Amino acid sequence: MASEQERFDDAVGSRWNWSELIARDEFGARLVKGTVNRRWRDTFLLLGMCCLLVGCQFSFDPMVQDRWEFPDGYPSQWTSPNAEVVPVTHGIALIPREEPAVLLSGPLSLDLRRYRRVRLSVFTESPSEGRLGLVVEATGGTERISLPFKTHGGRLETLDLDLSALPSGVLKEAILIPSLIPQRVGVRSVRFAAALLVPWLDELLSPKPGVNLALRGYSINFVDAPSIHGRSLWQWLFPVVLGLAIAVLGFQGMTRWQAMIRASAMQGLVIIWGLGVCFLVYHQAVALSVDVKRFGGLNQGAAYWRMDGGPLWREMRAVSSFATPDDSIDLVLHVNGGMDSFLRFRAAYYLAPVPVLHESATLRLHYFADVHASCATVEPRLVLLEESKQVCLFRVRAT
Amino acid sequence: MTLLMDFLGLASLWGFGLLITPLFSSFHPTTRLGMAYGIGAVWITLVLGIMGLVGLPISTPVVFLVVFALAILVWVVRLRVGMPGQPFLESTERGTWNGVATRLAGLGVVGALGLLVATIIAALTLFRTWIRPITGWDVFAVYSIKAKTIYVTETIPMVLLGAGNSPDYPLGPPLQQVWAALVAGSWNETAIKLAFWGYFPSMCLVAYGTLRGQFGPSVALVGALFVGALPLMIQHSQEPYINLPLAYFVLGQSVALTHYVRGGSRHGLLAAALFGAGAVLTRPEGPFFVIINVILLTYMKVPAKDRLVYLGPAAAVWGVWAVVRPQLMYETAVITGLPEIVSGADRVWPVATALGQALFMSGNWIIVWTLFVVAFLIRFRSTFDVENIFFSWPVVIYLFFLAWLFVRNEWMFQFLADNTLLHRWILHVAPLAALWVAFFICAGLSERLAFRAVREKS
Repeated sequence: MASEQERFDDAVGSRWNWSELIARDEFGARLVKGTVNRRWRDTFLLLGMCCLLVGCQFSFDPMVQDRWEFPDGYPSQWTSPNAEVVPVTHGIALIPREEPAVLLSGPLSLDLRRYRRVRLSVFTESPSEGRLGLVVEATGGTERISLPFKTHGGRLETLDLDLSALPSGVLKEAILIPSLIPQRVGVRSVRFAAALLVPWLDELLSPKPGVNLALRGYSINFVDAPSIHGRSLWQWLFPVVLGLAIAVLGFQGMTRWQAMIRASAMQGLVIIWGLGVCFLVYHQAVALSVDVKRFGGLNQGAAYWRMDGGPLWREMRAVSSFATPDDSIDLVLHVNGGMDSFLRFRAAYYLAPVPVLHESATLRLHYFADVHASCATVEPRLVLLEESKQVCLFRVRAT
Repeated sequence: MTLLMDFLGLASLWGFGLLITPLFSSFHPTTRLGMAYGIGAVWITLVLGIMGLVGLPISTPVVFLVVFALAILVWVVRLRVGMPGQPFLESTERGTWNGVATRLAGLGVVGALGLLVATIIAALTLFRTWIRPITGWDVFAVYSIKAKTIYVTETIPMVLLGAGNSPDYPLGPPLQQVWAALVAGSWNETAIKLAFWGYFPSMCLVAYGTLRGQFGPSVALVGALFVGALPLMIQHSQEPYINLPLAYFVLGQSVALTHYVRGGSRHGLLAAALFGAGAVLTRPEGPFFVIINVILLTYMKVPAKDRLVYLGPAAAVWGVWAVVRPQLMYETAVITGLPEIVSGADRVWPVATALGQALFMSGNWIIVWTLFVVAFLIRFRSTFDVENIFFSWPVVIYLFFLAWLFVRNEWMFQFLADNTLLHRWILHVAPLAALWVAFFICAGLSERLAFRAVREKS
């Protein structure tokens, strides 16, 4: 009667050591035993892979990669009444929308010496004229430049505007007005192209994914890939990687040509992976430089101010000093709609351990991003505890 | 001085783990060094959690008194039991620091390049961790708000889980943040972030040690870099999100269980049990991986007693949390999830394509998933071998489970379009998949290097 340990050993089967097998040249032999003698399975596998490849390529909408979110602590300062503010993101592309004007919000910081043209992809229903407005911080001061263009209407059009005549400086803001007459318009993308010889290389080498790593909240959810023509580099390379992987793992025979294919494929994989690592390091380095510019040398309060776009931390710290351990706060924010949720959670974090509740709170706090009316008129029936430039704090009920 | 205190939180977690890791002497020293961090984190979490539950104040003097008393106790037990000392410096055949220079010189071009890139990546992540305040939405909205509440009130308050989102999340990560703040002496975000950055090098060390057991140092280094150089993981190493810690505990469990089933060593079983508890303490998905591993152990016909040893700590932690959790929540707090499951056959294709794009075409994983899928299909039969089963099957089962959840769960499907959840959840198994693929890469590289050596000789 075999013991439990012996039965376990039997089930575990032959133990083998990778390095030993490689040394004895059995590594490939073992793989061959389990794989290439089943030709039908390989065929099925290849067909399956091809289906997957085709499915993924054709179902892929390039716009899926583009995400829109207000950057942390960077509310736009643009005051144009008709401008719809959308943030700039990877490749400076925009979602299709129908507003008459589109503002590319900050933090734009494009060195115009690096860019020679801007390519717009816009749709208008009928022929029209449009305009791209740029705010450039040049050595002689801030300059506002307008680049006009014409559209034929009825289709999505790609327009190239020359930037070479512009003054050297840093592009801080841009506003796109696709049509000067009221009509339905769509904006697909706005791309600033660098002065590189190969047209797609500027996009591939764009530092934008690195900038996004530092500035965009979504970069914790997914990392922007380097792209070519609006598509991820890895999407372009997927068929190649797939082929190489099949060659490395599938051709395990011991003949000379099989070994050669395997070795070359392995070399190819290592090169592609090395390329990916280079991009990773490049983007992280860009992100670090942005972080240093943004937070370098700042104390905690100043860093929070920069992130929140205001003195939220300072105000919440002051407010929490009024709260007793039994208090809870009902928080009312009077800020830009896009920032509301972000600042609400930031405020709750700063206020902790005082809990933020929607109902049954003992205190009510109004936080204003801009100038506000007298606190007495905000909640006339409640007892005012504290009034400052941005805060009105009331007691709703006693603890 | 402040920076030193910030690093002390990180170092102390490692230090407490190092006290116990001599128990696992059959592992490669580098693996033990990597595992020490997770074990230290589990230990501190349990100590702070138990202190909170029994009503002891979670204040600096009391916590330090308890923790150091326990550390001394462990040290005394260690001396009495006779566990080997100096575990990381003496137990390799060439393991002296004097030999480091010799070993570095022997790395060759491939190894030197790998070391250079690894150093650059580590430095970049460390500097970014250090210079930025907490910016991750979930961190300040979910984890750090709980940690700050515990830190300031010096207790686990009854309304804690109403603070922020995700009330059902375990308290492991917040308690580790509390520990970092206690060591730093104030609510210091740099210290908190550094404590979570520690999971990243630890995972790379575990990967290196695991590969080093089979391959030469330069090849193992490249393999470890393959595991460590995942763009999304690098980004996560700089924010105290809890996806990377879970990935670390998942990888650690697989490494330890493989070590156990290959050699029958109880060290592996014990380490896997601690890492299982760590996974349960980190995220609600933690028990899922423990269950998968129990099923795989059953398939491997591991004795029931050993399965219980593995399951015990994780089950105990989960049981206590299941009892305590409802008492800590607001009445209005609702755990979303399984009750929202609905039929969704029309969602299969959108989920499949989104998953395909996320795995093969996003900027998160370079080429890991293409290689993993090809390796899994081509080497399907050997995925049931002891060397592969704990590296490959948890990944595959988890991905299918993930796809199923996205198809069937209304709440999760809504987040498919904006990529909020999918990639982060893939991160839980990405390093494990990368480590399995790294075995093939390392084998291929070894083969090439061996051929080259033979050619040069001839």
